[in-house]
Order: sequence, then structure tokens, then C-alpha cells
Amino acid sequence: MRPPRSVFRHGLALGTALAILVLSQPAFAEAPQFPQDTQVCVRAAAQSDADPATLKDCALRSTRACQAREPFVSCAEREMEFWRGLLDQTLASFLGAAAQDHDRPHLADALSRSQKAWEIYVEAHCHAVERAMLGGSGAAPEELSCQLNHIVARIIALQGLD
Amino acid sequence: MCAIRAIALSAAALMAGHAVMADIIPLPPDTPLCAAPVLQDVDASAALRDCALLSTRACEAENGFVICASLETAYWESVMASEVTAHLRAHAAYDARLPGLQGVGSAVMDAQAAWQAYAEAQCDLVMAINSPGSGEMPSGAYCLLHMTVDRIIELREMP
Repeated sequence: MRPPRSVFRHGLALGTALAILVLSQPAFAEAPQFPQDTQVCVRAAAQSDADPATLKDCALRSTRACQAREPFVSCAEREMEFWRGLLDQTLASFLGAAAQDHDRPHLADALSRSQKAWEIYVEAHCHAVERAMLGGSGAAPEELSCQLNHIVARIIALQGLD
Repeated sequence: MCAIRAIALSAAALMAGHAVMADIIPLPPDTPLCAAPVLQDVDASAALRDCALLSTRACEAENGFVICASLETAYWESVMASEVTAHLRAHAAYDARLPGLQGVGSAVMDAQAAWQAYAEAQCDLVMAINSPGSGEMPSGAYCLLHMTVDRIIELREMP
């Protein structure tokens, strides 16, 4: 089997794109903002040649620091906004490259279908996790952690397609 | 029919006992032998990843990758079905006390259906990236096998 071809045939590798996106975020250009610990970790991961899976270690870093002062749920919701932004930008970068790939015109559609299916799956799975907490006080935190970890895993999966 | 669904259906057909194919190409026991002790330990689920592709590699000595990976995926699908059933059984009594509310079992079933659709769409994407060419079908079979193992681990790590 020949090695998989890069989605980014036209010059921009996804890892590079992620590094550019992360480094260009306002939090790095101006005063650090929440979630600083997570952002610093992501920046280090993007700059190194490390396995993309190391990004997983960055999940919930700022939330852990924050929850000494605030409830877990509010900390995690704020950190999740950062990860959602990173996922959106990663997808936009992928779609932009796919749109220029005239050899594989169905690539962008395939990504869109996959992304929509992923969103439905994560919502359903994390809801099941919440239900499995049987109404306990940990239900909402578990659901949020589930969603946040899946967003990070999705970014890693998209990087793995490179 | 999308290609990844064809791979999934061929795996399901093999698992369902289509005797001719299964008799001709039995699944080498490497993966089930590796997985059996891991499945007995609820805290070691991630180690299932180390068992992935062992039977496929043994099978590949005489057969193509796609059919070997499909055979092994059928094994993993049976494990996945057992894990879903375990959740339904574990929460049946609790769910029966929740009239009018969605129970755990129903939520797990919904999630499983959503996962199935996601796995098909994701592996279609992987195949699209590897198309056109000889890597298209192998990449889809590889994707489906690994996603199934990851889903098993996810189900086992649920509360």
C-alpha cells in the first residue's frame, strides 16, 4: 500500500497551519488571557515536531488552574471556547486546501459530512456520559470534560489526516 | 453504497457466519488471544489498542489486507456489541425508575447509532484522501478497525 497522500498538496501542511493559527491568535500577540496555560501548551506542541497526540496533554490545563478560584463548569466552558476556535480554524484551513485540490473534488464534501456526523456523535455520546452519572453532582462536569476532550481529539484526528 | 459501508457489511457478513468465506479464511487467533485478558480488566482498556491488527498481520501472510482487516473488524464489532449490551443491562433497573425521562440505555443506544454514522463518514473521508489509487480501500479498512477499537475503549471507560 502506498503511503497516504497529503490533503495539503498545495504547500501548507496541517501541522504548520495549526502552528500559524495558534501563534497568530490575539492571546499570543497581546497580553495573555484565559486559558493561558492551555494556550502555552498548545503553542509548544505546535512549534515542536512532537506527535500531534501530545496536544491531548494540553486539554483542561487552564481549567485545572482555574478551578481553585471558580467552579469547574465555568472554567471548562471558557477553555472550551478556545478549543472550539482552534477546531473551527483547523477545519477552515483543511477546507481551504481541499477546495484547491482539483484531483479530488469530493474531499470538501467528505470533510463536511464527517464533521457533521462527528458533532452529532459527540453530543449524543457526552449526553450518554451525563445520563450515566445517574443525576449525581458530577454529571455536568463529566459532560463538559467529555465534550472538551473530544474537541481536542478531533483536532488531533484532523492533523493525522495530513 | 459507499465504500466504507461495503467494508463494514463484508465484516458483518463474515461475523454472521457466512460459512464459505469464514471457513476459507478463518480469523487468526492473535487478536482475540491478546484481547481476552485485557477485557477482564476494566482499568486496562487502553491496552486493547496493542491488540489491534495482530490477527490482520498473521492473516496477511496468505490474504490481502482488506479482507484480513475486515475479518478482524468483525471480531471487534462483536466486542463492541457486548459492551453496549453491558451498559443496557447495568442500567436497566435504574432506567425503569425514570418514567418520562431518557434512561442511560436509551442514551447509549442513541450514541452508538451516532457513532456508527460518524465512523462511516470519517472513514469515507480517509478513503477520499487516499483516492484514487490502490491505498483507498486499505485505508478505509484500517480506519474502521481502529475506530471500532477506540469506540470499545470509550464504552468501557464510560461511568
